[in-house]
Amino acid sequence: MKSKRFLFFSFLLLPFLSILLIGCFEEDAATDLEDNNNDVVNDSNNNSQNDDSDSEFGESPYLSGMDLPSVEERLPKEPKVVNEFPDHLLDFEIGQYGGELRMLTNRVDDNPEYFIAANEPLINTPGLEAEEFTPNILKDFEVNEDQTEFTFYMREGLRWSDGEYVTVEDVQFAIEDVMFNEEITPTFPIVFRDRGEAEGEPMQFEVLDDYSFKISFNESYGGFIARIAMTNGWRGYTELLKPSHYLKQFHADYTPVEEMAEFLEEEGLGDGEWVQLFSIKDVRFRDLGSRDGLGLPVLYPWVLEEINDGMRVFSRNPYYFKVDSAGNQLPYIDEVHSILIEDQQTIVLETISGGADFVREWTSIDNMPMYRENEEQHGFRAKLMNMHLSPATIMLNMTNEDESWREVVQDVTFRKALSHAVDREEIVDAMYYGFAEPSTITDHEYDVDLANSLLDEMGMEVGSDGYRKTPSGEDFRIDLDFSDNSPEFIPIGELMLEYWGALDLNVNMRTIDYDLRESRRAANEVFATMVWQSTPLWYYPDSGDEWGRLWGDYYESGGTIGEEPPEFMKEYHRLLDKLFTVPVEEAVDVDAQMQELIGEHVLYIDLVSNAQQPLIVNANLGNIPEDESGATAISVNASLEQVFFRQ
Amino acid sequence: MKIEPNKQQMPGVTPPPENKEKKDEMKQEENYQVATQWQLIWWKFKKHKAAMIAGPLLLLLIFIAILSPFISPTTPGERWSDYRYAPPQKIHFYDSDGGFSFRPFVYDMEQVTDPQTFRRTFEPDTSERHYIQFFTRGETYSFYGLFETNIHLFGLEDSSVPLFLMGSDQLGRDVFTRALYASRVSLSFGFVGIIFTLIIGLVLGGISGYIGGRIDTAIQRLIDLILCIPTIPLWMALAASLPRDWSSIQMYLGMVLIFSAIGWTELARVIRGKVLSLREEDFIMAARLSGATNSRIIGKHLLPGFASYIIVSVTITIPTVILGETALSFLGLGLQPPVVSWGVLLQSAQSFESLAHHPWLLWPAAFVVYAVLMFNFLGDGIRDAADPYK
Amino acid sequence: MLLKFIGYRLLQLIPLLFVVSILVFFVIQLPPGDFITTYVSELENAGIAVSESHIQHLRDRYGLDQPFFVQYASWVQNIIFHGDLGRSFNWAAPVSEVISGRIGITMLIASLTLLFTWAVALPIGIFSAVRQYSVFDYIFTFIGFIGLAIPNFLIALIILFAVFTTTGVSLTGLFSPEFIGEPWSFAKFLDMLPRLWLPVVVVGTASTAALIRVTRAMLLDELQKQYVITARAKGVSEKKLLFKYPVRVAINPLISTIGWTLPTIIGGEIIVSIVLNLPTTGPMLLRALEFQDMYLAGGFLLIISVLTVIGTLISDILLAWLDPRIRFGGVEE
Repeated sequence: MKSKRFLFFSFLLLPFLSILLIGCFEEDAATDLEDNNNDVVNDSNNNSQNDDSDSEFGESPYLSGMDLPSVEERLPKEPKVVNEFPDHLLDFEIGQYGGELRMLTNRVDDNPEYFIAANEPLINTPGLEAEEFTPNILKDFEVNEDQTEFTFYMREGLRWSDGEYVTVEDVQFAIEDVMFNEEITPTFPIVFRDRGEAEGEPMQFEVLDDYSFKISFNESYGGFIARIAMTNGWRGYTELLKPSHYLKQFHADYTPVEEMAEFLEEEGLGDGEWVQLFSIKDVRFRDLGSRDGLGLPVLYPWVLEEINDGMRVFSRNPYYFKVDSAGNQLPYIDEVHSILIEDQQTIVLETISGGADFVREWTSIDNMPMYRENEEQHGFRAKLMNMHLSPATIMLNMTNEDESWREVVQDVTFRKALSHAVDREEIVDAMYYGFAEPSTITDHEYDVDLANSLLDEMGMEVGSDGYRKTPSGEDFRIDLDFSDNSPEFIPIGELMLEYWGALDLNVNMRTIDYDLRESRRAANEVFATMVWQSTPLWYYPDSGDEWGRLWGDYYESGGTIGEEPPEFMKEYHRLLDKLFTVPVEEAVDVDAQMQELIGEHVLYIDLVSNAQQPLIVNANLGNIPEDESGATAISVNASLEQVFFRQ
Repeated sequence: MKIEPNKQQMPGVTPPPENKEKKDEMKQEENYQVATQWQLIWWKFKKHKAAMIAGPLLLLLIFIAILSPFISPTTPGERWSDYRYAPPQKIHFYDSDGGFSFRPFVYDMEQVTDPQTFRRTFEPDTSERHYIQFFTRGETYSFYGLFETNIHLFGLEDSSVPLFLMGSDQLGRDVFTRALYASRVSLSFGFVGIIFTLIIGLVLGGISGYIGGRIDTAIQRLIDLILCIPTIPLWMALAASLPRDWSSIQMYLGMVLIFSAIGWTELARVIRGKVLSLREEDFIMAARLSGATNSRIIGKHLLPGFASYIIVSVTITIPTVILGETALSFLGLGLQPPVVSWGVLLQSAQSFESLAHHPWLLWPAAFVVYAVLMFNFLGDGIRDAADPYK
Repeated sequence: MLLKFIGYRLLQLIPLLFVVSILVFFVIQLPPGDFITTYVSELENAGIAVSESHIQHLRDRYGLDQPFFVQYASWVQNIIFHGDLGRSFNWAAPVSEVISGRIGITMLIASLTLLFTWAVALPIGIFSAVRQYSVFDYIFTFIGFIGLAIPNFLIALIILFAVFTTTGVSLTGLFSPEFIGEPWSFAKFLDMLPRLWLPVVVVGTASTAALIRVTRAMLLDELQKQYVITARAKGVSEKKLLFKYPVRVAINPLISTIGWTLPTIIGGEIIVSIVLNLPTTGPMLLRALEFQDMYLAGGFLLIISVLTVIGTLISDILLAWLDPRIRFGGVEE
């Protein structure tokens, strides 16, 4: 009887045991992290900024007390003086130091907002407008007459976040030891080949002196500057510039593999797998928050300092190379906290309760009433800014292997019919509260009769089951599979069912997991899908991954894989190549030609354009462009180093 | 001390009413002894007031679900693009001037979007009454493929004016109509699910308990195996692996099978436990000694013995399946639009924005709660009644 | 006798765990594609071209091209001989490290929920049975059923929203922002307490309702048995009559369900934790399944399964202790 009681009581003890359990593990985790912790100084005297009268540069009080060289020594000889926006978009204001910027993310290792905020390209384009290109990490660049030689000048005295100097050796390492190393980079990147094409020869690289180097191509490549700037996938600097003093310890050319044993074991790698180790340690720009990035010297405004379950802390880089016009070293904000929240709705709740200082990726125009209601009370502003994307586009994969699918979908008449069946005005009104416009890339007139007659013309007759058959009489169905990336996708999908159902087409819609969709796309198994895409930005074109998977493969691989595209697609790809080889001024025209081609052949069914996107910012944040300025939300995101907390 | 000595003195002269009562009692006693088991169950069931109410209410829901195309005023896909997120219309008997009408009516609404607050608000247009009529003509629908018609049970004469009893959703579709159509999918989901579950659970649980030995051990381990893996991940993984080219109806059946394949264990365990303990009872032993066959023992002695537990389990399982469907929909893995089920409707309603500004999108939740409640009350009543000899 | 019973059940555990591990491994691999396809497409989306040979490298490294059983064998081998659960692809860290921080909180919530469930359900269940068809019976039945009937995630959302609109506080997470990432301290513990009740209550509602029904049903059966009637006839006090045997017999099923209530609670906890943003295993498991991060998901499910199996074992032992009929039956087989 007694022992029975004992057992019963041990059950009662269960929760307390579990607390103990957590305690133990947490302690372990905490000590692990302390190793990576720089000594954080909690500074209380916030008004010491820019007071050192003998210095022309100001620094954050956050750094005082740390054992650091003076701010002059930490800055390059010629620091970059910002405004990251063209003047017509933002009237720059000298800011104040201090504060922690809270951001939210629903991804474990990745915060897309932080990624955009930290990204530092070699050359950038103010406001992401792609109207001009200005040096960023580099001091300057020169292009020769026939656009084949590019000379780059580096900032003297620029330092990595650990205080080491950035020299041409770092460029040399990144290019010669990594990019040209066939083990690490088996396929030489397209961007650094002649004409930016897969068949092109790799570039030539030449060191000129300690702070300058030259990249040259055999043919003119006018778009090269644009391509290594902001454009084409948020390149960052990591391809051409790597902290060689740090990474050499993982490179077999510099360090015997035996000496890497400890690192290899830590990463769970086998003996001799140094290439993998190197890839892990050489954190590409996308994984800024990844735990592999702890200890990696960077040039970003903030440095990953601490990872714990639920939050990542990035603290200011004492060697950051930008200053404001009064000479204050940027960033203004001392720390960025990336808080992990898994559920979209919880992110909404956190946003409206003022739990974040900056929210872009996770906002939705559908929640605008909520934002508006709570902005006063919880100290934030809900701004409506331009969106840099086309928020919803329907893509039909014209190269799906299914024969009867191809027969129908490769016929432009069919695609035209689908486009005419869509009431874009309704979408604009229902999903975007009128804050968007019908897309005009394709003929956007809403005309169901016309659509029906186009299908009749093709010979798609209605069968006994009430659905149209292919011209050769086979069953035909559109499987619209998409992942629920954006809150408006499902209702838009339901509208598509109605629109196309009105044409007597058999349409099936499924929302599938993001990863599942990705793997099906990779396997060319997608029929029709809905995505957002960045194509409205001229410097962000797509090679047809979604709407002609095999044609895109053919283009990207230089014809070794995939399937030979029809003439209009070849023309599209030719224009795509041209887009990056001509100088920037001409590129805009090329883009217009591409748009025309897309419209004429209805390569995809674009729904809305000029959509707007809510941007949530703490009401005290300064240097945020006005709503009416025409700036995009993402460009605000990209210039957070010059944003500050008003006190 | 008491004022009743008279009675005791004259036992023969009992007052007539008392006598009658006693007679009734005796009659009932007599009935009790000759009544069949099911009669007894019914008598006992009648005592459970909640169940007596729940039964008809549940039948009503099922009836409505079956007739949903006819009962709903429109079709689930019909959009009124000028009435997005419209609140439920008030049903009036009096107009603003106090004029009374025996026939209920509604007012048309005018949508106003405030560009500052982004709220869509609706102003009733009181200039014209729209009477709710029976057997109106509206959207054409096909009644289970039997015939096509456009007659709805009720609606408005003027088909350009919507009737939103439970408001409308983002695309201006009638929530009431959608919830009714969803009842059909969700209820049948529960019923089909429980049939599969019952078959598997009864057979395996019964065999396990009655035969025992190795088979019992094997089935027990199988149950342990399924029980010890958390169900939701298991559902998720299985739901994610359903072939992509399945049509909605195949998906539906696939989901039901997944629920049953995982959900039978609880029932089997209960049945096995009951069989096991009943097996030890003297009356079973007696039956066995007197040469009753296994099937007779199972049918005559065991089944009635645990009928109540089966019913309790069933009434708990049907709602579990219904709720499971909503849970999977929440994770985006269950049935998906354009299929209209309670889970699907709730999925699009489960946002703070809906809670704050268009709570009527949560009406399907009321259907879920209603169905689950009624099932449980009914099951409760049956449970109490199912062992009538006690 | 009892030792023999325990030993017998422990032996049975081994094949069970073996089958669980195969099943878990199999279920995770059911969906098409694998982690690498996901990973590669993520990279490609970010504008990084991934070469075929690099992909092959990754596949070789994780052994993804090998047949199912070879992958499985090496996984199990590492667990048995090195106690190594493998590496999580997504977190780029050993599984044990990733899990350890979270499993404690999950167990804490699960066991508190279990206790909450019992603490609420037992008295109500007993009361409802003793006062069958009374007003209280109906009220409690109704409340219990309501708890059963509203989907968990909806309850969580509604409570969160109600708290927010009344107080302006968002109750998500297990700690206030200032304690996130801090080492454990008494202050942190105190900070956690007011946020802990929400998941416990929300997760507990459904199982509480079910348990009330079971307790009530069992007790009703028991109260109608001969020995109770005899005892009552002999003048045993109602209180003693109730608690001496019937209640003890009636809670047997509670004990027998400890083992598998746990996975139910953990399953319910997944959704609630996602909504409430709790640092438990639930959301992590969901993500691991989405990403087909199979060693993480596999390791996880295995640990939870082992805990459950142990729970079932304990409940069986308890039951055997309380009810000799089962003990003898069990051992004879």
